Amino acid sequence: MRTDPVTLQVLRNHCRAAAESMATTLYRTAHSTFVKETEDFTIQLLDAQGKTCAVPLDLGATWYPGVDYEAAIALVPGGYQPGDIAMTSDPYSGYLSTHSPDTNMWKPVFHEGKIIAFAGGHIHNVDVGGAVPASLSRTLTEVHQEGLRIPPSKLYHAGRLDETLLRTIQTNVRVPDQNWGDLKALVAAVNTGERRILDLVRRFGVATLVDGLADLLDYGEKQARAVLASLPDGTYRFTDYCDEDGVGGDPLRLNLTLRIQGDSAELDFTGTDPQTLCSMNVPTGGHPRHSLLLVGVYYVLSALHPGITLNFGTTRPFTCITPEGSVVNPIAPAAVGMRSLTCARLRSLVFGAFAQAAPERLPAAPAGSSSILNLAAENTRTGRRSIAAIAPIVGGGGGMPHRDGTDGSGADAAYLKNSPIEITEAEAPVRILRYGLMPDTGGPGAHRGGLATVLEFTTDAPDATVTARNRDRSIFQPWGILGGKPGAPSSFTLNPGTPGEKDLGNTDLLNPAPGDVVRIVSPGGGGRGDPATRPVEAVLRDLRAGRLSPAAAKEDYGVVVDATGSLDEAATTARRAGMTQRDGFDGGRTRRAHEARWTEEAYAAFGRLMASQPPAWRGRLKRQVFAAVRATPGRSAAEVVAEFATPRPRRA
Amino acid sequence: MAWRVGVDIGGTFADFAALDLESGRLSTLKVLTTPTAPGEDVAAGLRRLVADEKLVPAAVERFVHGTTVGVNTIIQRRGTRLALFTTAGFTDMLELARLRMPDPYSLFCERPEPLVPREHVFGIAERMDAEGQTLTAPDVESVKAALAAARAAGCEGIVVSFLHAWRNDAHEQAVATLLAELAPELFVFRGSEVWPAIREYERTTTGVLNAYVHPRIDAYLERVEGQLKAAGIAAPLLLTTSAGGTMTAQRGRRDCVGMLLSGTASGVVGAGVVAKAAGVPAVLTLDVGGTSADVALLIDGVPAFGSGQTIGEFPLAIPTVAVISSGQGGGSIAHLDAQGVLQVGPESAGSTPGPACFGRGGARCTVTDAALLCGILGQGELGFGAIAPDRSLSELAIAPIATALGVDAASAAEGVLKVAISGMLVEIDKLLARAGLHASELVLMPFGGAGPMLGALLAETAGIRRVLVPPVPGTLCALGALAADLRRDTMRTVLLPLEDAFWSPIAEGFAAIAGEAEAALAEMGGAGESSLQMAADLRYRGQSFELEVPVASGLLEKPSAEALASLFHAAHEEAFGHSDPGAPVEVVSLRAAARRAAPPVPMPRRPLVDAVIAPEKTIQLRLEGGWREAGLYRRVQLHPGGRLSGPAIVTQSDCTVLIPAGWNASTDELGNLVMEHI
Repeated sequence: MRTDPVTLQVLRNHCRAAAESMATTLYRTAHSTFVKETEDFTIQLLDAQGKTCAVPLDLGATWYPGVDYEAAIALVPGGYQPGDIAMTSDPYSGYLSTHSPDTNMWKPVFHEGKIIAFAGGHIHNVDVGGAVPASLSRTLTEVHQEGLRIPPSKLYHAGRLDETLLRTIQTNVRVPDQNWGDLKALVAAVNTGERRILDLVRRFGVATLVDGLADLLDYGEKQARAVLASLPDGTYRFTDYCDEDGVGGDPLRLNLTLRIQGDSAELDFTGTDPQTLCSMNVPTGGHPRHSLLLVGVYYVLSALHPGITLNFGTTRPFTCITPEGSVVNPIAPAAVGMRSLTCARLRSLVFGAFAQAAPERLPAAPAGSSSILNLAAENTRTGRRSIAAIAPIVGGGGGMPHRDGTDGSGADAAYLKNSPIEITEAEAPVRILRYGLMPDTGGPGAHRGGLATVLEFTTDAPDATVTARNRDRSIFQPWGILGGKPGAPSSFTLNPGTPGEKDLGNTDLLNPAPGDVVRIVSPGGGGRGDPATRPVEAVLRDLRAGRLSPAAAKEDYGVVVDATGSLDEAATTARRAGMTQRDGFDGGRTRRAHEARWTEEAYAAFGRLMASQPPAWRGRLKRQVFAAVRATPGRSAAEVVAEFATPRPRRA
Repeated sequence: MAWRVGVDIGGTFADFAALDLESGRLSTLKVLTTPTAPGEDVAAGLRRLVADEKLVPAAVERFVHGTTVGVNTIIQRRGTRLALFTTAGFTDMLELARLRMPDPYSLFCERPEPLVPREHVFGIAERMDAEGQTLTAPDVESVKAALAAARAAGCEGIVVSFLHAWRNDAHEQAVATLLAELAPELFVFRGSEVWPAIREYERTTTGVLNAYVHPRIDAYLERVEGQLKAAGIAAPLLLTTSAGGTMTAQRGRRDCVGMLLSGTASGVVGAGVVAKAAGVPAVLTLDVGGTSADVALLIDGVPAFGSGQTIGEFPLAIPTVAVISSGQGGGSIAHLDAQGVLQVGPESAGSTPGPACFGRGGARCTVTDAALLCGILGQGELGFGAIAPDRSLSELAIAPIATALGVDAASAAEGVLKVAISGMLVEIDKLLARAGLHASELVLMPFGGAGPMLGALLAETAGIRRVLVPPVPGTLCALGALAADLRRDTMRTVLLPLEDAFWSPIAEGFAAIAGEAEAALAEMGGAGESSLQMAADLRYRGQSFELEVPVASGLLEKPSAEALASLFHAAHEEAFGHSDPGAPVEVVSLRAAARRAAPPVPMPRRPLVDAVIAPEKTIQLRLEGGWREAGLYRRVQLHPGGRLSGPAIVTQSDCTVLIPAGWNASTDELGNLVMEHI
């Protein structure tokens, strides 16, 4: 390294302070409640190449600590001069913004006529126009329906605002003042960043700063390489599924081959399903280190090395292979708005692959689906139609090496906040009947998965519309490892326990009648280790605390209690002795059934078929193939798939 | 002949400030705390004040005490066994909290274990709606069943906290009355009685914290009252509060959360007294203790307030002096990470075993050891002579780090200080960005045992150009205790549109909480004028957070929604850089604070005599990459008007002050040492 080990840490603290200061400025001056509540924004301090060197840790979302601005920076026409601020919201130019509501912004920092760094950040605008309010829906099929897209462009030219660009933005969105208010907050943040970077030049000197930023990347890289070197070399394959590839669709398969060699790793997504017809595609442009593909990696590294530095250097030891036209590298104009649903599954995909490489050090699957529940209705108290966030319905973490999964939230969902029931009930015509942990939902294991969350509510508003974004894991369960069982699937039920009870599955839009009761249960976290080896005392503790029912204690753990809750030692010993030893992976009954039908062979044939077709054709063809396989239960899926194979169409 | 005594008990030391009103002389003193015999330290300090300072116990007219017994009970989890009775369907309120966890990148993140375990939380069949209308009255049978289970579990107290009790506490009242009949042996707190704010998790947690520490605080106060009686002090025991005021011990027995952060708050109040006297408008206080550095803002001597401070990761809904902590203190441990990069903290040697040089078994190099090796410490006594640092132990502790870095011990030590200082910068920068302030507008006031030795270095790093070191920085908390007003805060959540049509419930709410606050003040007694401050928590409709806006009493005489709204728009503009005068505003909560001013602490001024002061001797100081000569001064030498230049070390019995090269210093009329960056 160019920088001594004391100065490097001092510079690292200064860079972190600058990044926190930028984030606080953004948070303080942002207009929309959405940005304040969800903290859906990020901040980056970038080197002259646009690589992230430092990020804040106390504010904002967790997805972009290693993001690379280089391609987007280069796409701005006309080069840069001091005072310029550029922005983009186009998921298909530079692959920086990954859906149209996300606006990324950056400002070059000049020293003696030369760019020495950039200050950057992104903010999620509540609405950027398009087919639906808030611009996001699984029903959209083309990026053109998802609102205004701005290719990398200057918002400020040498300190002068581009009024034309601003007017264009304001003409195309539903709440123009709010967007401009939030964009101004981002402008204030990058201006703060520029000022802070110039302060660092004065303090450390330009050479030390530039070398130091490079060394911060090397430092992040070294830490990540040390973690990889501590993992056994090998090839680890893992597959996970989204329940649906669109509204009422077929399973969406994500496939990963993780190759660890020495202190490097390759993440090969070959075998992943083709891009979907709906907006679940994840635009990466095939970037070998795209931040959205590596979010799971950030978590794994942080688990294996608590407090590890996260920046672009962290991503260097990793190379991602993303087949063009797949859901992880879609071709324009595939819609991308709801990529967050797929991203949740991408994270559990990465967790699963690493859990094979280091099962003794990593947890089972977290619940992995956070349904964001909103209710739109007229509020009789205020006389206004409003949209109220009821709560994110989050499930527990997976069983860990050293303890049970965290109940009700945890792992990659731990950044989400809920709203007070008292505020929700005061603002929306809704009555919450129950909000808490759902017993018997944590995947059984020596260390059990964290419990699911349950929410039950009713409304008396005749015009109520309930939306539940990101519904998943109703079919494919959060997996268990090392003999642990999967967490319970999610459920969404209308009028539970009544004759009119209705399973709503992964529905994301609902119009309940006045008095209807809606119940939503998140998935539970996966279990870790053979449940029969869970200490009896731990099972009794769960029983006493009501986390487990006597029936489940007996069924899953072989622990028998009498009517007063006292342990029946003899019955427990006998029952435990009769339980089959469990080991290895468990993805749950539905997954086993799916994979019994859709064998590796069938998927291989399916992959060949898809590869032979133009990307734009694949989504519809997938529907036909899956329908045909379902229609012929007597035949092997591979056979059915093979019949679809036709010569590659020629251009006229 | 009359005396006033302030006592603040911290982790290592109990600090005393005794004011002899006749002479105006302020005596200060530190004794070691006695965690195993609570209250014994108070008695020991009093004995020394009598012996050394001629304190006359019978002449003590005001005795104010701050203690960490409450906060330690929570952090060490040694509180009482509680049951929580809450609305059926919501018994996981404490488990779920607000969901979000610290360290969001960790797959292993967790929330703190609730203070009431899930099996001791009981759902009561009852329900109130958001308008305060009963949907289901409390079911007596479910209360009886919960009580039977709580008794069987050996619970000693019960917290009753129901949904929407902020609007109507009738259900809580009914259940508490029933419990008083059925179980007179159990103590009961109601959530809305402790602090009636909207937001069920925060309100309930505040009630739980209060009940959790109640028995221990009750017992402690009884012991201290006994010690005072035995010492011949007849003045009633007053306690410093988290809001920077005082309350009677009588009230403190029930209002336990009110004193949880008393030590940190009274330090800031003490700094405010100094700042006001010195006429400094904007101050950043820096209190460096063993495990953390606490910073707070003072504008015109008045501390910034906030609710939402946390204790052991539990939110406290009551208003408190806003203090931000970062994990670098005098005891923070230095080490090299796997990449060979120097790190300081968050692990700390705390007060036990403490820094290596304390010779109490600490073997790892701390910030204090580094300061000793750089020659900053060790020039005078430490902690009123309670500690004799051993330099050779620091050398041993830093040796592995120095060897790995390939430098000598002093260079490594300087590195440790630099890294520690830069680590403190993160929290300070966030605080300034939140307040929209620039470092160059501020004066840094370091206090606590380790603040003055690091203050100027931190100021340089943060871009602050002036540092003010009060005369006795090591006992500023005790001074704050002497100066704190008797105070009672009350609040009510109303959640109404800010419109003239709703003015009467708003005005009635203000009248009610003002009455409650003044009644509490009257009950606590004491002489002197009282005053009342009122404020409203306002927000734009749809916002999820509120802004506190002071409300002048004249504003309440006639409907004046528009006047209040315009105050809010201006405050919003000030705090966030924008406002929306056309948007509807909501009143979330009303607040009142009644206070009776403490008798002023005389701040004697002495005439300035301009002179350059010669150092007592010349020492070697390691800074800026090399050893250089520095003047050594004793604080008592520095008369008002006396000037000196860095590099220099000023020793005094409670702390050591570092004046780096590039700084000039002079003593003002009040005895403050004021440093200016050249």
